[in-house]
Amino acid sequence: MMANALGSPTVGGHRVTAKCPEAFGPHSLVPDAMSRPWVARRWTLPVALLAAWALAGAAYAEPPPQPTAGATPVAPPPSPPAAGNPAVVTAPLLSGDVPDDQKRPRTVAILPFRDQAVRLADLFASEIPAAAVDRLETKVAQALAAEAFVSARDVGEVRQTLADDHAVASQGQLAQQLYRIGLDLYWSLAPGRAAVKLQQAVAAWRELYQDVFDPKPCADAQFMYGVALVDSGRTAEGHIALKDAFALQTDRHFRPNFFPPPVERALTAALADFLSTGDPLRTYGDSARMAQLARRLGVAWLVVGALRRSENGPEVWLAVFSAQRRLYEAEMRVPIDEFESRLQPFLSRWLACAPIAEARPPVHVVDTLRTDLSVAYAPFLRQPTRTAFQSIGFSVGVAHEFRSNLEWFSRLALHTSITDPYRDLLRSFNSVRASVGLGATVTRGPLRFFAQAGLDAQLLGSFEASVDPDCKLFGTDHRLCDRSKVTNLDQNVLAGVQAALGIQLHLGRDFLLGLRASMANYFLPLDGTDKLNLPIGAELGLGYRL
Amino acid sequence: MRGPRPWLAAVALAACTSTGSMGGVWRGASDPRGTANPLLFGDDGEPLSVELVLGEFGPDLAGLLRFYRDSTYVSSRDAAAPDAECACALVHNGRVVDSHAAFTLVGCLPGGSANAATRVRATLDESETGLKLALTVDDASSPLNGRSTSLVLNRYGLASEITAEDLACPVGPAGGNTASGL
Repeated sequence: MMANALGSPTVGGHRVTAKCPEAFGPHSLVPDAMSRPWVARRWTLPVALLAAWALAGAAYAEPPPQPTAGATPVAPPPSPPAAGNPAVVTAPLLSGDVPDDQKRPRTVAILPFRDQAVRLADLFASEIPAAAVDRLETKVAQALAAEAFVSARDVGEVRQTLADDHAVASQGQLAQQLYRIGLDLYWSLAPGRAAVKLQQAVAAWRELYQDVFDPKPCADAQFMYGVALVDSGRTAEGHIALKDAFALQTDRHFRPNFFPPPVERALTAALADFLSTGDPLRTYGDSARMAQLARRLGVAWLVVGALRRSENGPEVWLAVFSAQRRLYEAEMRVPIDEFESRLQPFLSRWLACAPIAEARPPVHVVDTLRTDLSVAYAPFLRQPTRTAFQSIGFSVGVAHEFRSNLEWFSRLALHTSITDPYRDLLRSFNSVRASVGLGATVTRGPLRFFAQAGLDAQLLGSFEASVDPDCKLFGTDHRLCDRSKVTNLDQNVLAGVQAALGIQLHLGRDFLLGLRASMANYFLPLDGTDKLNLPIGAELGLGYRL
Repeated sequence: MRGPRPWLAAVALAACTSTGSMGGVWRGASDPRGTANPLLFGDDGEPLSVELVLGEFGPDLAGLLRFYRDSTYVSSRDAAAPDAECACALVHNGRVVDSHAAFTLVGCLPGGSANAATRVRATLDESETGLKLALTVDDASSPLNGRSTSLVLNRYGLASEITAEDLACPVGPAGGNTASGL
């Protein structure tokens, strides 16, 4: 079983279509195009027809080879693409909706394998041979590197990343000090107080993931914590602490007679307990901590492994933890001499059900025309009246995204401006406003943001304003009205530039809800913009994507 | 492109309601009988009616004061024609502060002035029944200088009901108030 170029597992040269029901369940990490309302479904029908065509063709083909025992069931191989249509490939299952060029590698980090192939009798041996767990780590890294659409960080990178954390230096020193204080208290025959400090030291180191990239200091503190508890008479707690210490560093051995006999007995009991009941693959903490570690490493999956003795010799335990699902998606336990041969099928089987992410939004529709009808509010920031007059109306717009993230737009608005409280605006007037320009767009899921810039022109209606009350009461033609105090922009056209920001929410189907804010600065006519200028605008409306 | 749409009426109304409560058409009578040195009276010394047409625009006032020779005018506009020789005086420099207003009248005063335009200071104060109008001649060249009177005005029409006819104030004869009692 191996992976083909599409990243799909194969058995005997055939692509695996393993059943991964959980992947389609509520925890599915693969966003199915059908389940997203904002995803255009233009490919759904053709893909379904092609799949049906491929399956129909396969029904007339030779029966596929039966899968070997224990292997994942396989499906018939897809029919070769028809001539002239070589690009159409129905990818299997989870990656089926994702074209190859949009697949994002699955990020995996390999955590240091735990050497648990120890014997109880060696606990107080002067020296024990080190197991070659690093060779197993290398094999896993090589196997993952051979898989398509997998980006693996080996153990060295993991250690380096965690050790390079800027907090390691400061908090590591704090943990070291706590450990030293704990040791001093222990040697000062104050095991109770020593336990407190040692426990704090362990917590500080674990917060830095010291137990991952360099477990010895953390394990030392954990061992001494357990020893201090045993010495202070808290035997049960000490047993648990020592068992946890062996989880951190199982291959730890001690000088004979270094500790008093009760402590040696406790150490022996704890190791025996860990080897018989401890889970070899859960030594890095619970699911929450594993997920946190994955986030810290910037990966979606963690590979953990351990080497243990069994009645039939050393065994390799291997598992893959999903940070998003917070569970172990695949586990394997094999004799060490079969590890190499079983590794690839194991990884392929896991990858067959591992969701694949898309490198960019699933549908990024270019060459799309968007229209909208909005209500608009567009007052002027500069106006000849002493108090602001309000302008409201409606607008229609069209935008065409002709390149990725680039569009042109055009808008037409009809506003009615209402007299201000002082009636300085002598009468309400209507105006027509048109704008055209270019915009930059960014789409994030159902949201689409845009920034636009362009030209703006506004044809004013019967605009007349004055602060002279006689002009307001008697009219501008009355002898009492001081004409020099009347601003008359009747039928004037103001022109300038406009900038706008906006957001559109895809409501489903092709409908949009849009909000747009704009501001313009008029500079034409040259002598006519000092009285009335700087219109701002807010538009809220519904749109449709053609 | 004139005129707001009906659906904007509510907004437009809201925008125009702050024109204040003094705007409108106000009417009252001046009865000189029993008053020493009356300021406003008809040619024959009989009571006189006045009509104050005011437009209030924020802090500003504009308008005119029209005079009629018959007190029955208060209840019926057509009961008597405007004073033939001194029909009205225009409001100048009108300002409103809260419920108090002040302005200047420049023009004739029926029955109270010689053949010259007179400057009169006027104040308006809102009362429970309407407006209290106080007039004081502030014109050193006038023999009426310092003379004052006050009238109580009642609302006759709203600001929105002011018509072009209400605002008509023909220029008086060059001789001013030729029918003055003085």
